[in-house]
Amino acid sequence: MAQQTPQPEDITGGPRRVLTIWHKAECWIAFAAFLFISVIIVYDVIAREVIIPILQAFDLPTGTAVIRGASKLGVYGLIVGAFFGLGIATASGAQIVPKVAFGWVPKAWGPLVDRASDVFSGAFFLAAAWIAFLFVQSSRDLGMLTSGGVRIEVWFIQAVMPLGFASVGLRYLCYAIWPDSRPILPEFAE
Amino acid sequence: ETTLRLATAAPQGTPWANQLDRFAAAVDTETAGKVKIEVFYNSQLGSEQDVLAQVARGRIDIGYFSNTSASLQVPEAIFPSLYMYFDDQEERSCILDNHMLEPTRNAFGTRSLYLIGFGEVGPNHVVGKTGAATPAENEGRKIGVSVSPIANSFWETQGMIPTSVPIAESASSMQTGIVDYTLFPITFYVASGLNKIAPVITLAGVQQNSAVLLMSERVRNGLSEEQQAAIDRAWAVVPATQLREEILGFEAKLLEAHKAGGGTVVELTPEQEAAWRAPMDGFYEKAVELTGEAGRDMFEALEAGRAACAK
Amino acid sequence: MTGLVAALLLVAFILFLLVIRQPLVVILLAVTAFVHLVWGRGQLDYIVEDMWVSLDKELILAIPMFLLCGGVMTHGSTAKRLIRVAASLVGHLPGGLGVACIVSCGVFAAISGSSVVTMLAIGSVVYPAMKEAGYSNRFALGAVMSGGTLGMIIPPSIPLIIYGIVTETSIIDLFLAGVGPGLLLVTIFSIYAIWSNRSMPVTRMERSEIAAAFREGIWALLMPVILLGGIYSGYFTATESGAVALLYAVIIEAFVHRELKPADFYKVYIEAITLVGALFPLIAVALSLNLVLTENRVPVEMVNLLRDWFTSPLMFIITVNLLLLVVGAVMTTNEAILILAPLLMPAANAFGFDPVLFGIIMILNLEIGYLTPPVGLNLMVAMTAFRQRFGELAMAALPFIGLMILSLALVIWQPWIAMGLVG
Ligand code: NA
Ligand code: NA
Repeated sequence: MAQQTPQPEDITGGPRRVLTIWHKAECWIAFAAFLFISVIIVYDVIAREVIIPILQAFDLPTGTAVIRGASKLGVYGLIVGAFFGLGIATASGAQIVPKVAFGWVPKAWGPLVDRASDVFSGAFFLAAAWIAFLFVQSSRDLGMLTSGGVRIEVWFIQAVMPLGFASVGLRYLCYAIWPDSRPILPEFAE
Repeated sequence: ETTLRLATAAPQGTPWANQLDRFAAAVDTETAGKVKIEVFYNSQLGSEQDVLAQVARGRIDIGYFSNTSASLQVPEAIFPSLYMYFDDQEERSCILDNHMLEPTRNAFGTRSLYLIGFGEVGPNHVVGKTGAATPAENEGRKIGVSVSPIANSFWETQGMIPTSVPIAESASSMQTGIVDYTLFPITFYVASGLNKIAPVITLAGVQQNSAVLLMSERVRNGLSEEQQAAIDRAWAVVPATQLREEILGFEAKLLEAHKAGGGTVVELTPEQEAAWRAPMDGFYEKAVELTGEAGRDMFEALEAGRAACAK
Repeated sequence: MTGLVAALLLVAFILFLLVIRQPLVVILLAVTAFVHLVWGRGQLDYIVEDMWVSLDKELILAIPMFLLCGGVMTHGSTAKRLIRVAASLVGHLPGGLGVACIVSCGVFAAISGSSVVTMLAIGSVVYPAMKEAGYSNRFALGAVMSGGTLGMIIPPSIPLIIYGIVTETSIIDLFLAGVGPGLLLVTIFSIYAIWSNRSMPVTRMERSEIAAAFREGIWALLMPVILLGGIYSGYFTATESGAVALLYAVIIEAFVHRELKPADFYKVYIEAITLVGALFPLIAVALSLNLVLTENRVPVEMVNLLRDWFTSPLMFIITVNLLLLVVGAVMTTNEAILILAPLLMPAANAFGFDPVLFGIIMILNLEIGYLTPPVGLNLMVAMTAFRQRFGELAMAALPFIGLMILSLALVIWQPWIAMGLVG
């Protein structure tokens, strides 16, 4: 969990620089999302257990102290963070890759298999992104709403799914084209 | 031959499940065996919220929902189960069956859902370790509900703090005191054993909750007109009033069992009931405000129904 | 396509994906797609819908909170301070440092939701200290690795949260049920530490050292009190307690212990996000696979099948335990729970096992899996963290595995150990 994973920052060069900036951007977006979750949930508890009782003690209105649907907003922050996190996990080599069959092909073929692997993963995630896009589109057409205390059109948040898949798909294709930009898989992951 | 999948939260063997089994048999008869209904009980296909979205998409063909759950997706559809609105069951049946079916059908229609008809969930009551008879007792207490803007507004009108509690956590939230009360139909309250943790049920008549049988419009349009009509007829074989009586009778028995097991039932005195109802007119205005134009139409239909039924 | 042909095709497909080194999330997505295409209605957007449904749950928020909290604590000096307190109290016993190791793992486990975090936090301090004090390498490694696994049974626990989410079981009840077996393990490990080190020289108990250790460690010691006390007294939900613990940890580490710099803070978040990014899509896909199996009534039929095979609950639970031990040997915990809990829990329930108790039984089994080769996460992490050979680690874990199996048997035989606190 706390093991060092190779970061793409270690790599330099044209397309790699793009990968690095891309990774940094995903990190900051996901960081903002997670910071938002922590703050909103902590505030929600403080509001309920401290602020509201104080306001009540002084007969003041409590309505404005509450963030409507705080935990639901937290869930949406988490989903956004998780799908950008999918790209971050890929870039850091933290994706869980079963290794049972790694020894089934001759060692010399390793780099070739890795490359085939990246082509397959890239195409697979891009296909997943397309299917996710169709799903989000149908949510939009049906006018689906979020449930819970916040009521907005749900496709707005669901859109992070095709984005996350596409980001990962493109990243794998980059690894296939420039194999040395590929992160080294750690010995273990979780 | 077409098989339609019907999802419900009701466990097998309960009156709701029996009503759906009866419906399935009636569909078989009415369509001369051309359409079969396969029922998935006990939330096997997911929570009501999740299933509702799937019915809209046409993935699940039919769903039997509590009106409250369905209105999370279609806010203006809450009005047939509006908080503390109906005076008695007779008035309620008259308004719902004669005046609210079409408006509610139109409301669900905007989300690609077809309302086959109303059913009954049973009234939602306040349960807790203590009674909740008077607003003075309830001021500032936390109630675990499935939150929505309208539900929030209702509980705040009553001076309580609505708190979102997942169903799986209701028992432990009551035990630890994360919430003081939760809102449940009698059946779930007794059958789940929640009444052992929260032994007091206050029959405040907070909400007479209808059930709605919703079908995917996409799926429905794929059937012949005769089959569509046959499905509607199959649901109407047993009138909605009888469905209500069945559920209410069943709940009365459970309530007796609850009392016999040492549980407490608090019934409101007329003064207490008046205190619960006092702030309600303001709430109805708020509910209309929260649901926009469509909500206003629904509320007007409800009021017109009440006027017509009073004659 | 007949069922047999489809099943063979599916196996071949999985083997192909394994050979071309696909990430687990791709394999699960591909398998789910296969199931939809062959047995379902062939609409792949249903998978995405189910993924959304699985993630759109407030309970799931607890996971990042406890990950972040564990991260902050690991960057700070909490572990060191806890160990000092424990050592000052039990250092005079034979094998005192071994007992201190187990006890501080137990206390740290009441803050951290994961096994590896607990092992690294406590182990990185106490392992060198035990070596220096003359403890055998094998005992020191075994104590650190098995003490680490307490992180997932003593609440809070991320595997228990995942079990609660996939089986719709109360997470608070699961947390309560984890306390008893956790304490049982602490006791049994401690007795073993004393017995196996009975010939080690003992130190004297120093009052001044106890006082100093408490002064230094009081803020860290309050952490589990706030966290678990908050849950059980009803001030917070599991998620909220994670958030409050995180706030507390940040305040303590940044302002009291002064160990956490803003750059560390960012790093802690990115580490948690990376884990969430690897884990959550997996959770979503696994739940999506579970939903399509339910739609096709697979769990119901499995329960019926198992009922035909097994005549008694005892036979059933023994078989399930053997299965889980094997699964624990070859799979990581979270994935094993995601895939197996929704299938096994209904069956266990049909045989009369409470879903909460069964959750604890599952976690205890998979906890053992952290110490068993080939896929034993604590073994693998310890290999790098303590620079040991895999074989040495596996041998070191062996006696502790025996003790854990004993505890598991005790919990199954006397369910009140787990269920006593559950209402
Ligand atoms: Na823990
Ligand atoms: Na293992």
